[in-house]
Amino acid sequence: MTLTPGPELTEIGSVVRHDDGALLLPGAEEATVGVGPYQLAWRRLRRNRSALIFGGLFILIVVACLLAPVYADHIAHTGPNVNHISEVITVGGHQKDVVSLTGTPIGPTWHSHFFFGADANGRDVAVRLLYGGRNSLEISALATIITIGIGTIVALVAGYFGGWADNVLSRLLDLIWAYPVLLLGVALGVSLSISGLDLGLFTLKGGSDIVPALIIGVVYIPYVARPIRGEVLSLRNREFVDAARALGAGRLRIMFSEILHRPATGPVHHPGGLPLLPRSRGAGAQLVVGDHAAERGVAARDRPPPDRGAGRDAGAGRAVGQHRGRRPAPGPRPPGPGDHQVTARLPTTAGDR
Amino acid sequence: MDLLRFAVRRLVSAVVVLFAVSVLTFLIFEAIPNGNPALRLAGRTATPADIAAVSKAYGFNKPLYVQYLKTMDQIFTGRIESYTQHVTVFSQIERGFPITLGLSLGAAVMWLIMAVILGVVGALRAGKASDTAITSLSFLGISAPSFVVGALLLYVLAYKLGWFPNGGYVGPSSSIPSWFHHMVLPWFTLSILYVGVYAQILRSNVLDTLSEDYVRTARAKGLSRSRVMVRHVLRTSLIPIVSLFGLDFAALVGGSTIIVESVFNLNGIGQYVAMSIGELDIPPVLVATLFGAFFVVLLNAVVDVAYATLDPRIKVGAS
Repeated sequence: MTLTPGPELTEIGSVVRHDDGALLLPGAEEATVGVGPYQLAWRRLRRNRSALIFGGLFILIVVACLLAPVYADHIAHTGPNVNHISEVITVGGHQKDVVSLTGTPIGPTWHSHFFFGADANGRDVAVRLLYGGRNSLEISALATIITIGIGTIVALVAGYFGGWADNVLSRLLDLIWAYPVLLLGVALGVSLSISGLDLGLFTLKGGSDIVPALIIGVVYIPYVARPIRGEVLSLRNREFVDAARALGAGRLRIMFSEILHRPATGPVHHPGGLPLLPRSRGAGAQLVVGDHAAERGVAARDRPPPDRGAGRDAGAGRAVGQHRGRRPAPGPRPPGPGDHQVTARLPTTAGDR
Repeated sequence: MDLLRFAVRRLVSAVVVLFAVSVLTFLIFEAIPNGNPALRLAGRTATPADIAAVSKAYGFNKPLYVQYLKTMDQIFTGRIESYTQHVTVFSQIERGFPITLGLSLGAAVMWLIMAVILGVVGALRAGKASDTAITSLSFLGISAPSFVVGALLLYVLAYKLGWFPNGGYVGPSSSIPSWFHHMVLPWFTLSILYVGVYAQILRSNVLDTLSEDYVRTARAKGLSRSRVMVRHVLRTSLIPIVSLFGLDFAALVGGSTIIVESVFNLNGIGQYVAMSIGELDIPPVLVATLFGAFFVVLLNAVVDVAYATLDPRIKVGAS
C-alpha cells in the first residue's frame, strides 16, 4: 500500500502525504482506515529517528537521576551534602586538595571521586547533579501534567463555545501571561515554602515540591492553551464536526472525542509541540522558582538540602550574570529563625525560558 | 463594522485585565515576607522607630486601597519614582525600552524566517535525512540554554576571532551599522530558543494540512506547487505559530529578554525588571508589569485578527 516515492508522486496535491512521511497514491487512503489516533501517533514516532534518539537520551537521564543514591553510595562514596573542604584526594597518583587554599575547588577528575569536580564547599558536583536532577524531573513532570491538563481543557472550552466563555477564559490567560513570573516565584515560593498551605481538604507541607510545580504549571497554561484554542476555532467549523453534530453527538463528545482526537489535525498531535513546550519553557521557570523556593535562604534551611533542583547548581556555575554575587541585604534584618530574607540574591534566570 | 465592535470590546477587556494585573501585583508584595518597602527605604541600620517614620512619610501605614490609588495616580501622572534609586521609573523605561524592543524585533524576524524555512523543508522531506537533521537541530536548539549559547558565541566569535564586539550597546540613532554589528549575536542567541519549537510545530502542521482535501483541489485546479504551499498550506498551518508568537513576543518586549541582556551587557527592560524584583522595588515592578501586560493584551488581540485572515473559517469576534 505504501509506494516508493517517485518524483511524480511527491507533488503537493496529487498524492496524500501521511503523517509518518509515507506517500499514498490518490484513492489509496482507504488503506489506512481503521488506524486509530494512538496507532498513528506511535507509527509517527517510530519513524521519527531524531525523536527516538533524543527520547532515548531523556530516558537515560531519568534512569541516571533515579540511580543517584546508588552512584553516591557505591561509586562516589559521598553524599550530596558532605563537605570535603579540607580533604586531599589522590588523582592519577598526584595528591590534590579538594578545595585549594585560595578557595578554588578541584575541577573534573573523571574518576569515581569528584567526577565533575567539587564546589566551593568541597561537595561532589556529580552527586549533587544527579540528586538535583531527581528534583528537577519531579517538578517538571508534575508541572507539565498541570499545564497540559488544564491548558487543553481551557482551550477546548474557550475555542468551542466561543462567546463570553471564550472572552472570560482568554482574558484570564492574558492575565496569567502578563503576571510577573519571577515575582510570583518569590512570593508564593517563599511564603508557601515556609508555611505550607492548608486548604482544608488537603494540606501542603512547607518545602514541598508541589509548590514550584504548581507555580510553573499554572504560569505556562497560556502557552499551551492559546495555540490549541486557535486550532479549535478553526476545527469547530469543519465538516466532521457538523457530521458528529448531525449524528446527535453532545458537546462534550464533540470537544473531547472529535476535536481533541482528530487524527490528522488534532491539536494534541503536534509532535514537537505539546511535549516540548512546557519542557522548554518550564526549564527556565524551574530555575527561577528553583532558585527562589529551593535555594534561597528560606528553603535551604527548611528543606533537606539535597532537594535543590539541578537548575540551581547549573546556575551557580554561570559566570555571565552580573547579579549572581550575593548582595548585601537591602533592608534591616532582625536575625532569628523567623527571618526569611528574600532579596538577598537575584537569579539571572528570569525570562528567556 | 465587525472589526470595530471587536476593537471596542477588546479595549474594554484590556482595561479590566490591566486593572486586575495591577491589583494582583500590588497585593503580592503583601504576601512576600519582608515585602514592606519601608524596610528598604529606612536603610540597613534602621531602628523600628525609623521604619515607622518612613512608613508614615510614604503612607505605607494607610489602608492598602489608599496606597494602591496613590501609586496608580503617580503612575498615570508619570511622577512615580523608584523606592531604591529615587529616579523616575519612566526615565528608566524610556532608556531601556528601545534596547529590548530592538533585541526582540530582530530576534523575532530571525526566528520566524528560520522556522518557516526549516518547518516547510522538514515537512516536504518528512522521513528523509534532511528532515532528521532539521529535527535534531531543533531539539538541540530547544535544549540549549541561552546563557551557554550566548557565552560560547561571545567567547569564540567576539573574544577569540574578534568578528563582533564583546557585548555592549550602540543605539541605532548614533550609528546604524554599529548597532547592527552589536545586535547580531544577541539576536541570534535569542532566536535559537524559539526556532526549534516553531519549526517543529510548523512541520507537523504542514504535514497535516498537505493531506487536506482542499489542498488537492487547489492542485487539481492547476495552481502551481509553490502557490499552493504559500496560499493554502502555509496559511492555515501558521495558526499555532501566530498564537505562540503573540505570547512570546509580548513576554520578550515586557522584559523576559533578561538572560540575553545580561550575557551581552545590554541594559534593557529585562535587566531593569529583574533588578527591581530582586530589590522588591514596588514602583518599577508595577510599571514594568503593566507595560508588559499592555503588550500581552495588544498582541493577543492582533493574533485573533490574524486568525481570521489566515483561516477564512474563523470569524473575528465570532461568538
